[in-house]
Amino acid sequence: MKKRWLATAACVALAATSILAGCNSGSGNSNSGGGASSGGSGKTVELEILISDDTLEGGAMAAVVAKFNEEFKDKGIQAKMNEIAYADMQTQIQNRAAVNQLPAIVKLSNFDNYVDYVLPLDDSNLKQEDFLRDGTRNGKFMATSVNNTAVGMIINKTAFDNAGVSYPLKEEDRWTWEEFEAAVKEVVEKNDNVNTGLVIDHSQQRINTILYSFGMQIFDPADNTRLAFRSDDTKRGLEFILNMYKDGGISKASVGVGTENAQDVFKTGTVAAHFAGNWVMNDYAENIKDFEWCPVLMPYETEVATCLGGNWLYAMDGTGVEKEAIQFLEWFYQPENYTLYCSTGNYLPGTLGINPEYTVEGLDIFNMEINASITQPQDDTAVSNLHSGEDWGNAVRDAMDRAIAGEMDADGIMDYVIKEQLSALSGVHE
Amino acid sequence: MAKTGTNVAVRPKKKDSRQKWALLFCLPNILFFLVFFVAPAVVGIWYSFTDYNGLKKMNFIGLENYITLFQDPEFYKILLNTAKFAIISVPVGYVVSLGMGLLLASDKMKGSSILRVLIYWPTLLSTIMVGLTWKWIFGESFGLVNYLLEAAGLPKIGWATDPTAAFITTIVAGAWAGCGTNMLIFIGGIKQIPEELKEAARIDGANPWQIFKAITLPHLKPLSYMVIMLSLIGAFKEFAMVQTLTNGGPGTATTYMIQYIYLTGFQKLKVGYSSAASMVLFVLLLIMSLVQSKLTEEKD
Repeated sequence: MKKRWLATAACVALAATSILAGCNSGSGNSNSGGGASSGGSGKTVELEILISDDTLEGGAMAAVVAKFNEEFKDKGIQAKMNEIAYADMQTQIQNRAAVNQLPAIVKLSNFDNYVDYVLPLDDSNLKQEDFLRDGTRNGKFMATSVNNTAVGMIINKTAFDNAGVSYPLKEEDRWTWEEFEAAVKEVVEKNDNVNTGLVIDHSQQRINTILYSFGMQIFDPADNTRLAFRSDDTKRGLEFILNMYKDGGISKASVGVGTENAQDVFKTGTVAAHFAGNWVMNDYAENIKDFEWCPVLMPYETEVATCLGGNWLYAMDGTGVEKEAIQFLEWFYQPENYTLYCSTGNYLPGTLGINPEYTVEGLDIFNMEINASITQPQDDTAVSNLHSGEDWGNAVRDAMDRAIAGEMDADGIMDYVIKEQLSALSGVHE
Repeated sequence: MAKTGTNVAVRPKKKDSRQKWALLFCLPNILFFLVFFVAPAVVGIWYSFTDYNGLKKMNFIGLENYITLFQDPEFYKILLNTAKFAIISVPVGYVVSLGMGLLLASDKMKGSSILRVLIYWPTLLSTIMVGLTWKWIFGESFGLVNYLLEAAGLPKIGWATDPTAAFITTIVAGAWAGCGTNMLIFIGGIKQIPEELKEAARIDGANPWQIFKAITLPHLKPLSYMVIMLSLIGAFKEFAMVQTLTNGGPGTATTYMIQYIYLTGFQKLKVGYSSAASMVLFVLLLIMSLVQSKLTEEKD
């Protein structure tokens, strides 16, 4: 009996191990683009493009890569996308840098952490002045701003209409945060299936956008070595956010601490509004079938503010295929190809002179936000860029997580953030 | 376990040539150990004395990482979290696996072979899958448990937002994933207990609880030591399951040592600092291992 049991256990273990091993070698292959390497014949160069969320955002890069491969199939260059989870991007680049196996091209919201490994583009025909965001570090043009993003508010239109609550599409109708709070409370009350007023992405940029509207500054505009995060304005903003997550508040703490994903929760139709960004619209257009939604103007307190962000497309140095990578980037930004990219992904372009045809409506709201915004978010980004490679991470978001869990209050958040900034950034003071 | 020290007839010379063979057979393992355990550990020790961030050139900064670490209240909080997790999850896991071992070693139990396979099965799952599965069960808005509570007219539980509730989810998932192996160990141990002892006790009028207390448990003492020590070490190294289940939250309520090391090393890019934290954990685990082998020796 015992022997039989042991034999059974051994068989099961063996079978499971071999299945797991099979999975492992499968996924191993997909990751072993191993930087860009020459193909089997020794003539075709393979360019690996490391990217995340492309499928989720409509497969724009996939469309452009297919076009590139078609045009370059006789010219000895083929691009290959390696799409991984956004959360794994930093770890993967870091690990691959350590073993000298970097991908040829990367699309990511950050390049400052890897700036030593990025290939300068000064010798290419791409010029910084054509791009809307500054990709220059230490006097060298390093990264191209491939698409811009703006933070904004998206509402469950069906629920608002049902409740007979109006929403702002014009500047003069813009809510204050207090009015917004009252509006979503009414929407929740009057809709049986809606139980949450607002969900906010688990993101520092989203939190900062709210704080900017309360008058928060990260760096003092008059002296960019002074950290200005600790202020009465910041504190009021932080307390406003924390109140949303308390019992009876308009938001959901499980989303606030990041355990549940705001985008997923909004799609269930149980939420009145999602504080997100323009990039979720593609997903919503495709996957929300049982209610209508639309972007509206964001609430304000003392200031109207949005955070301009976006992704960078850049080549890596030391991959052995730098020339081909630059060739790809130059081809990518030709108006015809770049327009295809922006149209497919419904992206706000990172250059001027491009007129994408959008398949989702309402993107002009985000352009209105960008035009109406104060310059403080951009000024803070510019100062951060001077500290290239000195990352203070997601201190605001991390501290906010702890505060929602009851580990600290608004003052604690400010202490935490200032401490992290002081330890990461050189030559700054409070 | 093989009996050692009884065969005195072997001459030292002969023993030497046998040892060579033994070494040869162990070589693959030794090489593996050197390349994948010793080498990274040595590199880790070196990193812990530098300001390496995983990307830039590193500078030697002496004991600075250790000094910052020991002055960081967060480090102590995480250490306390980990200890709390270990202190609660180890006895829970022990009781559950011993209980199941007793149940499934019993001849009266029907279908015990199938049950053993089913209970052992979670051990074969990747810990990531364990985390995800329990995340679906303990989801705050859309989880199974809250759905059932709601259907029964009871208030939902904030699995993701209440620090205590989140802590409980990690204990439950940990015990579920770990009890299979320990149950097998206990079944083996229980089967080895001579049946005559129990029979004699029964004739003397002992009830099952008395038999368990006076015969089964004392016989399982050496195994229990082993299971508890190994579970304790495992609890201090818990990572993937918690990472997927609660991501260390809410706040830092379920952030344990390995996750803290991961966060500082890979999210905050303080590789030197996180290496120092690893070294502290290494020392703690080393002490536990020494205690374990000491206890096992005493038993022998």
